[in-house]
Amino acid sequence: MYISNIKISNYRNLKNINIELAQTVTIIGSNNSGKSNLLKAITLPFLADEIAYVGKNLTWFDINSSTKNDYYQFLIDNKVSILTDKITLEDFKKQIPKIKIEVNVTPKKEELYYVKELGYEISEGNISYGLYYEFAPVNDLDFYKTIKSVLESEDVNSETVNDLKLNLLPIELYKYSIGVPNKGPISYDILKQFKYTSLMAERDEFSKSNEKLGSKSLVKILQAKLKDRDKIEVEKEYSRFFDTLKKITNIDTLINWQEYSELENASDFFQKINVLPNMPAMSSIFNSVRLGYEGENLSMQGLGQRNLILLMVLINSLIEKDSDAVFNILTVEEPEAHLCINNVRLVASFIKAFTDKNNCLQLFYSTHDTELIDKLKLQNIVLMSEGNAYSIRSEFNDEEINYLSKNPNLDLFKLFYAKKCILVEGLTEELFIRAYLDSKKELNDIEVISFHKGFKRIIDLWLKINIRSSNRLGIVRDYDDQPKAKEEHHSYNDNKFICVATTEKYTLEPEIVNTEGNYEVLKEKYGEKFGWNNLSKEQLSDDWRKNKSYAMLEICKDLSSGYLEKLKLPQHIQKIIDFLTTGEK
Amino acid sequence: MVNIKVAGAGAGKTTNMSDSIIESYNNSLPHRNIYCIAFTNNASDNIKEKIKLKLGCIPNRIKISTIHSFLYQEIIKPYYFLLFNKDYKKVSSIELPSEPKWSNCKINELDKNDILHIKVIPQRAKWVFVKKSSDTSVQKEARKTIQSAFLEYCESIFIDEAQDIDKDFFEILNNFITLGITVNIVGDPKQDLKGFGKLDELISKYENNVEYINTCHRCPNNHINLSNSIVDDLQKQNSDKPNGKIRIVFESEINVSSFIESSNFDLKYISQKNSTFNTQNNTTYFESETLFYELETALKEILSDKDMDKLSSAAYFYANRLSSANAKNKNEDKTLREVFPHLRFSSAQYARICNAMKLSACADSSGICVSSIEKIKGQEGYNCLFILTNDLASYLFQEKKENNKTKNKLYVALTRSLKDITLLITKEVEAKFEKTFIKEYLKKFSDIDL
Repeated sequence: MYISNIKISNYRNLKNINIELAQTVTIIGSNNSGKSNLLKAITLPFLADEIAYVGKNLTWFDINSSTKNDYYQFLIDNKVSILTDKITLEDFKKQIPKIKIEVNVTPKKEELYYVKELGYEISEGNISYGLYYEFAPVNDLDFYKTIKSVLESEDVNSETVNDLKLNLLPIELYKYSIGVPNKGPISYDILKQFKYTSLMAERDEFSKSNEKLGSKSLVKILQAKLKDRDKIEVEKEYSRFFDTLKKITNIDTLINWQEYSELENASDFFQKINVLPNMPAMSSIFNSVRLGYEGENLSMQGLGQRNLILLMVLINSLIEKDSDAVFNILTVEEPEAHLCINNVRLVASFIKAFTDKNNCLQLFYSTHDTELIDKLKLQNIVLMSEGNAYSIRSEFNDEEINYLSKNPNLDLFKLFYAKKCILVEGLTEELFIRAYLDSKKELNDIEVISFHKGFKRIIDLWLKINIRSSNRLGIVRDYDDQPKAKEEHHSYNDNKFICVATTEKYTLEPEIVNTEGNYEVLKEKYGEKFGWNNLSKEQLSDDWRKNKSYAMLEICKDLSSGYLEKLKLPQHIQKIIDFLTTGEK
Repeated sequence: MVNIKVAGAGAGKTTNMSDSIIESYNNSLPHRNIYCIAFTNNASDNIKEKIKLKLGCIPNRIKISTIHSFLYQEIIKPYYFLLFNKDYKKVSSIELPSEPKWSNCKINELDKNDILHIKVIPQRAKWVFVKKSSDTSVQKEARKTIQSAFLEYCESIFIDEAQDIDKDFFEILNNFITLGITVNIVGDPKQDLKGFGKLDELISKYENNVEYINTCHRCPNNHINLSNSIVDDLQKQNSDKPNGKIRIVFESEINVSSFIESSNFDLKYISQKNSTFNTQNNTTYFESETLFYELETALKEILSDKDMDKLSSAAYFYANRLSSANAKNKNEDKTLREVFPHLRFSSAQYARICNAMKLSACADSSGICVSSIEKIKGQEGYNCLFILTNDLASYLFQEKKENNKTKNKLYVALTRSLKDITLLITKEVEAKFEKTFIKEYLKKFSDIDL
């Protein structure tokens, strides 16, 4: 079972989100884009497993700022109408800021029994299952009355509103509720089957304290994996430990009250007092086990090491079937935190193996590390920017996702979040442009990514993600005798942050050869080496193309080392680079 | 697939059924449930006990419940909303008026407040799973979706005391069978005290899948001989226990109350109460629930601006006060004025509250207290007292022979004892059949102690 869709409204900077999700969800985005808020929002409709408990009641600050501002503006604009009852309660209700998170759950056939209470709709032969969390006034009428009385007693206008913000949005009248969409609140008995565990970015302290050091997870693993016979052994060993203790300390003689008593027969009584083992419950015996690494206490390990071990133990313990919970959610912020590259790879492989085999756990994690993006499962990725979220699985169709997956150089971080980025149509172009950029120090903040075809969907998504950023995207494409495709792509030039340029000729090589004095430059430098001395422009271009890899590699090497300063960039590439550096087209 | 086991009284139905449940459990996939449906809490507890004894606990996937709980929890609660866009928040068992018109009125009133009356649970479950006359094509399609979801996790269904199957549940059951669910039915048409006759219908419909278990492990041989005298050949039982006592006592010859007091009976039962015997049992819970409900409704109407939770708790408090005050006053008007001196009820509210108070007051405690036969169904005892009245005597003495619920009552009455049974011949029976005939007739069943 997994959450296949999530809708969020007015939670922190997530004003309005509606995205499709996969069994594993990888969230990427720049700082402040809303990744942590998304992770937190997902957990709100679910009960917490005890580790890292977070309360469900929210605060004034958790309500989306722009929603709050719209609401205050509404009060200012409609003050008179409210006071004269021209605005009905029904109308007013629509303006009250409410936080709502709604998830759709997709069960497997074998899980239908557990979700049956979550069904809320039937369409096309399928039952939709879901849960919502809502933070809203308990009683709209009370809320309305309170606001009215504030408006009556205070002069609310755009100046004074700042001092009355809390009174005009009295959060103490709010309450949270969890239920099934359309149906309403549900009982704890049902809810307790759906749990979450979260590991937040501020976990450094958590992994430091001795008691908390993942011991609960560890005990759970021990409980689940030890066989009955093993437990008998443990008990026997524990008794032996006690006997040894007794023998060594000679404890019976240490407790020797009779010598101090003057009463006769006192020893009869006192001799019967003896020391018994305080046989603890199995779980408290396990509690005396603590995580360590190479024989050292875990708290002595470095931050990265600690995080790594904690994460793995935690995930491991969640795999153990919990008889109560039928579905677990694990949210982890930046699993790569403090880890060196080898350990990041370790975590990545662990997560991959784990998600492949586990069905009753859905993992959500945010990351800034390409190692933690499974290139073969791009549909798992959610891109975030400025409080908006886009899921690759809904933005692209299967074929497009497959195409993206096959691209070995795909770096989503660079593609969507780099300040300056050039998309090109092939490795040759990438190589050539990179070589040029390498030769100019001032251009080294430009990223180059190669594709084979079709940029439109990528551009569309790039535009959504970068709607408010100042990032720039340049696109260098081949003409390929397709005027229509050229026209379609060039229409994106209307956008200030995008520049699309297409070769005049069929491909790149003749374009280079035909630019300014390049023909002469190339003949002079490579005439001997490649036998280009007696060739015409066209012949040279053709030969270059046929020898593609070898010739291009040589030329690029020289270009990047600065031996080809005289070589000019073809006009369309120069145009893109100018655009990226100056913003002018 | 359907399997029907017809098993008479004391045939070890519960043991037999719990074995089959465990077998079905052991052969099922780990995500599929085995449902066991009984008609009383008592019967469902018995099966739970048996399974606990064998497995140590009741596995999550074995769901044992009463019919109402099963239909509500497994069918109405998850799926009613999806078809009819209504989500019941509560189930109520308040007293309903006997007049069907008023009874429906009450049910509709509850319905408006999202409360489901226990009486209509089978009907509503049928609407979800089988059909409702007003079904649209969209609802019909949606129903198929619900059925296939249910089929995914339902391994098999067991039904205990199937003679209590009513007409709505009968339709649901036929639907289960048509959908291919394995349904295992155990019951005894001879113990159909409500006269639904649905088990007989199932037996004739699936006659090839019926197995008769005619051994009785409970009753002594001679008791069985007596009960066999009113049973069809196919269902005549045999007992593996030695004879027990059958005593005949005439009401005319003894002081009934001191006789009963001195005899130490495990079970005492009569067909229905009469001027001497009273079968009133503890139904006060239902009645005060009715009073609570009426009071709560009225208070919510009058004080609509108050916190509803607080009103409910106030209603509960005042319902108890009304009830105890009226036990003393025996006058509803007075009680109501006394408890609520300032509150003005509308005439309709007033009438409803008074009515509810009357209901809770009418518990009549005159007469000798015994059980009704309905009440002791499914129970057994070493020393039983059966008070014979004319309705049952006509069947015992073969004056009437047709199979019906009255005859079934007689069968139940004769098959309760593990050892001894006393037949108390009431005066009306003695007057109708005469002492010598009665003695002669019962002597045929040997060892009869007069």
